[in-house]
Amino acid sequence: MQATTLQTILIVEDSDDDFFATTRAFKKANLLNPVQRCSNGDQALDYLYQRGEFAPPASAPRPGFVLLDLNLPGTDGREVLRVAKSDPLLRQIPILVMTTSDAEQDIARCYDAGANSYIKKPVDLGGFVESISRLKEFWLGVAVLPKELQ
Amino acid sequence: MLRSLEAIHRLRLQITDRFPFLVPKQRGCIQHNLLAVALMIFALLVRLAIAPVNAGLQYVTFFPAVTLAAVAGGFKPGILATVIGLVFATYIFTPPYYSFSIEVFHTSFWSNMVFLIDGIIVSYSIESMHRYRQRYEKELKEVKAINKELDEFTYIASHDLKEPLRGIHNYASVIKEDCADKLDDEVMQYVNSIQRLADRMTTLTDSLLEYSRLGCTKIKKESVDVDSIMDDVTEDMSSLRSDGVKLQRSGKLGNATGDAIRIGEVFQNLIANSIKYNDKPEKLVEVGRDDKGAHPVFYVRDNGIGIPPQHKESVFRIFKRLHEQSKYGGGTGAGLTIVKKIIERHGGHIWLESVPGAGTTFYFTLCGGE
Repeated sequence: MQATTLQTILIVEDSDDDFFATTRAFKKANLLNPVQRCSNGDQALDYLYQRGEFAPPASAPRPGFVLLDLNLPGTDGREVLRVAKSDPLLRQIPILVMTTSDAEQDIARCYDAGANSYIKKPVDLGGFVESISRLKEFWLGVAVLPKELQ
Repeated sequence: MLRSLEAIHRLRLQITDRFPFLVPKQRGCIQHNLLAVALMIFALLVRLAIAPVNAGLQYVTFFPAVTLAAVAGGFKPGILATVIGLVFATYIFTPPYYSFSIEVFHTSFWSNMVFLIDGIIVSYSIESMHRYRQRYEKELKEVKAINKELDEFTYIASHDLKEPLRGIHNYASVIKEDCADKLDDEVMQYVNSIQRLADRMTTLTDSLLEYSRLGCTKIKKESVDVDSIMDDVTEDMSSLRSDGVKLQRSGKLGNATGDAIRIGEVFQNLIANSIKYNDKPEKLVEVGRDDKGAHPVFYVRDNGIGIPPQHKESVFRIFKRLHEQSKYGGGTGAGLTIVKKIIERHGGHIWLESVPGAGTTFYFTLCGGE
């Protein structure tokens, strides 16, 4: 089902607690891919562009997909999404927006900007596990992801 | 005295409401003064055209011209027009005609005085009408801005409150999952309580969010078929299909103007309450329409537990519950508040009649509310 080396999953999430819930759900869902966390938008862009603290390419392998929170300190998720999706080198990476916002405006704008899906953050841990196992099933099982460009 | 002043203010508002063009954006600027001069010259020409110079009647066209000048430009142009009128009256219309003479003080003194005082009164009262209107508009704008800010604040606050709540709930879950064998039953009870309270606060913040969102979103004003709205509501509500519940419509509900989805929410909330707060074995809910008044009145009637008269107003207050949490299936106490807000956003009014123990009827209109 998966390649020999598991692709990194990039989680862009500022809340420690939500990150904790997500990684816990990863474990429960038996999702074994390495996880890289960025806690703000600038860091996420540094990672994707392999610059700043992520300058050595080995420290920032191209992620299999990105779980992106929208409300982030500094550069927020909407901006990260816009930048990544307008760059021909990055736009193939699936970006899954995962956020508390269910404002119709946010949903429409994210899909407009090229988000690959929009997930409302589950309200409890059970919901997190449920969502993450479905994400795993689809994005790492059913879906065929693009080969790396570089 | 105060009351009659208030009445005057109200009259001014009514006049300017009906004739908004009477309130200029700016007053007393150079164009308005030029307009006053032009109006007076025009009034003079009209006056000369309709009657000979010595016919008297020198103010007949000046009065309306002064009024128009004041309406267009407020106090100063009104006074300017009055002064010009006085000059015309003394120079042209007082013997010996077309010249100034000391005679004026004998022949036209009192009529000139009446014209002057009338000009001042007209200019002043029209000016104050303008001022009053502008202050009213400014205040209205401020109130609207404050309301909008408040809704935005509520929205942001309730949104941000949810994040720590989710954390509390999640960590309680983690304790239950990971430490179940290490904790005794009593501690587990506490953990369960933490979760239950977090859940409850989540529903409260969700209601707040919904309520504040109502204030921010636009309410559609289109012609809707209330019968088909009710058909949808009936189909969606599973509680209508439980034992002993009977919903009936007395006659056609007809058409109304408003937002179909929101009107559906109103009916759904009211009907849900009718079933929820009902201890009879046969729970009857009747929905109908009454066209006797100026505006159509819709009603939802039940044979439930009723509402004591002292709570007729407070049932609409947010998070106000008349019963303890465990009774009548709980709930946040936001339903009727949301209903009221929807109806008020439509420009309508909601009220109720109730006999404790026998039932309640909620009435609402979608327009004509104060």
